[in-house]
Amino acid sequence: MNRKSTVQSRYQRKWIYEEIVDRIPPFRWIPRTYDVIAQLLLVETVGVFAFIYFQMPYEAAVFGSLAIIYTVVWSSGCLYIVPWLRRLRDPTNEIEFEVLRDYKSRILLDRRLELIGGIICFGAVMSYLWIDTDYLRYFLGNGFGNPLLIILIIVLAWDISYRLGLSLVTTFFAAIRSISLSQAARKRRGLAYTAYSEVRTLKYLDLINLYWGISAVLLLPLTLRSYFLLLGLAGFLAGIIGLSTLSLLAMETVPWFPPDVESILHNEGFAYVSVCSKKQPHVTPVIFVYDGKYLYFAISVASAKYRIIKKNPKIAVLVDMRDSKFPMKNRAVLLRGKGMILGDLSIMGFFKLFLHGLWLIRVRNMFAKKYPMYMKFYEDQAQELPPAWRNKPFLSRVIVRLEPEKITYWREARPTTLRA
Amino acid sequence: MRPDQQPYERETMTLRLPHYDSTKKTTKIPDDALNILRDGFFAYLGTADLVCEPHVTAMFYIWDDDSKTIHLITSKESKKVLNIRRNTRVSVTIDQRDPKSPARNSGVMVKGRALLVEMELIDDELTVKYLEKYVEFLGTGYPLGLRIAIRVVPQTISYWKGTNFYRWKNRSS
Repeated sequence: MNRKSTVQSRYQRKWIYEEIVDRIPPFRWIPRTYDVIAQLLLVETVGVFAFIYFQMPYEAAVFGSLAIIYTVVWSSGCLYIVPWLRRLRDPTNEIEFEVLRDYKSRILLDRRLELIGGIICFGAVMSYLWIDTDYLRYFLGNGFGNPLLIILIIVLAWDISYRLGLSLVTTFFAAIRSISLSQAARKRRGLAYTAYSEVRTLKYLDLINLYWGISAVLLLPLTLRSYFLLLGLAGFLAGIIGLSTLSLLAMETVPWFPPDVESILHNEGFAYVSVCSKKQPHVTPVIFVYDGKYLYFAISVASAKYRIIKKNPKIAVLVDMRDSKFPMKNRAVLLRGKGMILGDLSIMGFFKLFLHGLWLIRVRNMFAKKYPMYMKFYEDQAQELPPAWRNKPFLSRVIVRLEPEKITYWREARPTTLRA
Repeated sequence: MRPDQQPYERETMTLRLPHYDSTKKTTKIPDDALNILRDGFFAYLGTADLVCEPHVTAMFYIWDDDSKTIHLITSKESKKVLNIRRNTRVSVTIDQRDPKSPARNSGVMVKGRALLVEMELIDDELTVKYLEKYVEFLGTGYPLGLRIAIRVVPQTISYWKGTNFYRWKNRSS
């Protein structure tokens, strides 16, 4: 059902940073995971030598080290994030597929785009340092004007600027991708969708990108001595945080399942819950609601389901459209995953109540909306019902939340397995 | 508890809710349960694998009155057949659902052991009855040769109508 990743050759898949790291001799010989530490030690050693030789003020050493730590944090993030990006599977929806392909090619293949941000930052920083010589004079002390030190400063400035620029560029592209993905998701038809694990991965990568950008706070002490640099850093941080928030919000609107599955889950009234204890399955009908992410069903604490789910949280729920006249109208969705009991009377239950209190109210409202007749029945006949049947939260009724892990969809008895 | 006593007669506000009390044990399968088994159209077959991961599917079935067994026919490679080969315990639910009031919902849950039976060994009369019941779905060219039958021998039959629960246990097996 799902296509494999489309980024082909190994060369194409590399970022400039990774290529540089791969070629420089000391890093070439050591394994990938130690690259970052080796880089830290190398640059830091050069810096400490310069500090001792030129007798710079101690701030130069501390703030300079912070700047080096920033580059290292960033690099480790880069080495971590890119393999994830390459492993992404392609969505089955054509438009979403194109959005993600464009995103990947912009991020991984287009060299110009990633250099533009870096060059702009570098140009601004270097021209500032050229104009305002007092700033460097303060930090460098006796060594000001030494050609070797100028080279070191230029290398460090480029290192930082390139990373700042690339952070901005990647965040910008992530925001564009998220918005166009959520727009494309609205045009889904039939079984076309982006597997939710991929959406989750993208969201996770965006979060890492955010941490990455925010690690530029380490540069703050270095910029405190000049308004221009401080303003630049503040602008950078504001841009990263704003774009990342926009991107995460847009990703939240991408639905988890293809529209065929969503329509069954939203419109059908009954679900069949299968639980298992001591190898004996147990199937019962329940009423349920679906909020776009999780499936909730209410069970009585006197029921066998409650006892079993507490011991073995693995649940399978079948929701089907059934029609005994027209074979074409029969469809079903099977969701399998782990269930969590919300709102039971136990120590953990009380603890969870603090976390999920508002959530439970929302789920109850959803039930009231979907099953008005049922809720009315429970209210009208509260006194005549046996205690276990009454709709009292916590005392007699609890809500089970199912997070789907495996999804199977049937249409006219032909199953299709979808990735969650 | 006396047999004539209503299961929820006592008005209690305890946290322990009467569960076993409210289930009536019967010595023979209730007639209403048999009617549901005869007339129902879809059965929900729950199976589990060895690590107790449940699986449930909607299926066609036929109830055999003489042997008191359920027959379900499916393809040989399906997940449920795979599960039954490893773990013969199954649960079949057949219900009548009412969108208006939960008190009118009724249904039967059969827990028991499943046997995989080749189609040639199934009683011809039963096969014909099965094909007649689902004639609109299966059409004429139904490939019986690629199919396998699951025979479920009930051990427990639970029947519920509204708030009343009944349970019958198979003493003979």
